Amino acid sequence: MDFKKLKKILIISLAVFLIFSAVVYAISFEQFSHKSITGYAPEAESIIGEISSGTVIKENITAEAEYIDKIEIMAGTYDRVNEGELSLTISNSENSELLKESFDISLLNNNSYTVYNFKNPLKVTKGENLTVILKAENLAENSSFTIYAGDLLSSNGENSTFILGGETLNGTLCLRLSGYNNISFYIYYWAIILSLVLISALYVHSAIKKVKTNKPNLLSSVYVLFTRYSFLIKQLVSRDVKTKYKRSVLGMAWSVMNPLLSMGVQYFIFSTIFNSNIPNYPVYLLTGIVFFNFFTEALTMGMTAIISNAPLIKKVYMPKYIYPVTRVISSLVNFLCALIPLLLMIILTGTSIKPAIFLLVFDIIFYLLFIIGLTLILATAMTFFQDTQFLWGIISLMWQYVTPIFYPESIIPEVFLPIYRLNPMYQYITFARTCIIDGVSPEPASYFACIASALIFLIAGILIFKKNQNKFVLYL
Amino acid sequence: MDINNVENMIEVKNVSMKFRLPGDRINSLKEYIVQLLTRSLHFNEFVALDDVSFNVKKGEVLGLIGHNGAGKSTILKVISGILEPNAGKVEIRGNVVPMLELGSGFDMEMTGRENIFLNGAILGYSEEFLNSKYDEIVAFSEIEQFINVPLRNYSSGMIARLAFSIATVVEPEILIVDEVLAVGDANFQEKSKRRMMELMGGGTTVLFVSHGLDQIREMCDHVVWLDHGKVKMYGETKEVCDAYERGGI
Repeated sequence: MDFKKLKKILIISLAVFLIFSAVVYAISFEQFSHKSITGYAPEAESIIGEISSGTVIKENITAEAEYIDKIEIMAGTYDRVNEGELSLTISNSENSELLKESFDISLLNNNSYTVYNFKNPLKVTKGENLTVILKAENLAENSSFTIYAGDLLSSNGENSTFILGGETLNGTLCLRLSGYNNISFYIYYWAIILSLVLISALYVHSAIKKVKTNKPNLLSSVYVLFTRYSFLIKQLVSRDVKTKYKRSVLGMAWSVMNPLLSMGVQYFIFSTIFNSNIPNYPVYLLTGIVFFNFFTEALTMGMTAIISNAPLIKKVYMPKYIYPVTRVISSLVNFLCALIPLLLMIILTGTSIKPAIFLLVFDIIFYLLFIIGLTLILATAMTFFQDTQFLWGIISLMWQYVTPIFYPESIIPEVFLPIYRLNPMYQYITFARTCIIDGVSPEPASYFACIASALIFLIAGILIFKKNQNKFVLYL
Repeated sequence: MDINNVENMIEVKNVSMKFRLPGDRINSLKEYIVQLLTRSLHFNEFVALDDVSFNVKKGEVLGLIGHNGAGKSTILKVISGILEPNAGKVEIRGNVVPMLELGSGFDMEMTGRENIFLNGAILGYSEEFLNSKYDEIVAFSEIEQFINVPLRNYSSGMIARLAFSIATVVEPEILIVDEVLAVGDANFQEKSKRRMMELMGGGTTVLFVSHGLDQIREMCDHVVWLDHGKVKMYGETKEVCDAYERGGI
């Protein structure tokens, strides 16, 4: 074993890891120090009637976050652009005014939530009772709007009333005060990073001792695999990439065209249904399609890797995981090509590109590990039972529908959301969308979800594959 | 380690290989579950190798003979590390290069040049090594003018020549030849035989499986006769071949 080369590799990977962590920290500082909180609003049941100039709406709302930085209103605009202002006053129970701002009514969405951000976040006490007063001012002629309300029949007690133009009505307005709580995850962040570095340093130290005494250990076998088989992996991947479009006229251009075409079709079909609920629908849709295509392609190719290479496996000795893993890496190449049309779409729709887009690297690395893990499981199953591929056809179709690719997450009933979010694909795709469309880092919980799904599937995949790989040749 | 052992490139010690195969080959989950539920799932034990031992010294050519199903291919698989024996041990000193059957390591859509690198990588050669030996491989296989043509346009003889060239031009320490010498035209057969002789002279250890006794007689130093997984005879080429011809055919 070449110690100089190993040392160089270890130092480089440490440097890359630290730089990467620092960049993630810099981009995600805000999300690592804030946990965003969405206030309560009921299911919309009806509108409260036309609001014209001078109408005052008053409601008591309990603060659910420590800082409130926006108000979200579900309004109806009667499908026209209204002109005028909406002034907002928030005061506390001692009647002292905390905030006074005024918003442009022409920005209101019809039948969906409109977000008005405050100039400065408002610090309140969590659980505090706030009085919100909205007043329509300077409305132009023929301009009026309405607000949705819910909980109309509930006997929620004293809270479920609001005042419209001096009249007390039953129900709760579809009005949310959203904001964030301060959390101090960023303190733990460096603790986690440093302990990871420390643990790996200790491990490498003990592994090198073992290498010197020629004991088998993970580090040296990983090193040997990388140095001895990297050329083979490179050859196999370039074979897959070269032969995939070998006899087609457009060749690699298909990798770029394919997601664009399927986006075109789905956009045409679904845009009227979901467009208004999803900001930047084309990018939303294309992100989902590109990410999900990678998943389907890698698994469909990877699961047959063992059986389709049967002649070789019977003749030549090499680690068997190389076959499924190279198939996944070939699909990764395809996936990276498909990011080009995604980038084009981001530019075409005028989505601003923020530094958060860099976090996609994190997302893709763990997405790749997740896919490799699942591929190893399926390739093993496929070798013993060829039904796996037909079963997988059904499962991947189902998986596609439980992942928000073309529809918004908001159509899922709230009761099911905790289960719905267990889907790893949901985590990876939502992570990517947050980085691309919202231009901010996801919350720490999303990072953990991505890492956890990848590790669970990868470890399960490696164990299952390793346990069965010696039996493969008997079933080929 | 004493000096005698160093010379042994391959030591096969009391190797036994048993397969536990399902009564009917089960390929689908449904069949498996149905058979498991009806308790008709039974496994037949099949002994492919039974206490097989032999040594191969450096530079030696060892022939393996026997009827179909005698275990010749199984012992080759055990030696190349593809199968793990149930009992016994195989010790190998050096890299094992199998000469692949027609096209099994080739991709028909890729050109001859791309296939040389792909196949070389599969056989475990490094990139630098293949770069330095590339011209030699092309020259030996006599396909210079077709090297940038996809393999699907090659004749089977051309493919076999390419496979032979890749496997032998690099002087492996242990070469496994499983019935592939009878390829190409008479000219190339002659040439490949010469190349094999050269390799053996150069210290390559060869394991040679063939049904053609003439080839075995001509090329091998020692012969192992396998019969139903057991070593029936192991010794000098002439002795074993004569006995095989008397008893076997």
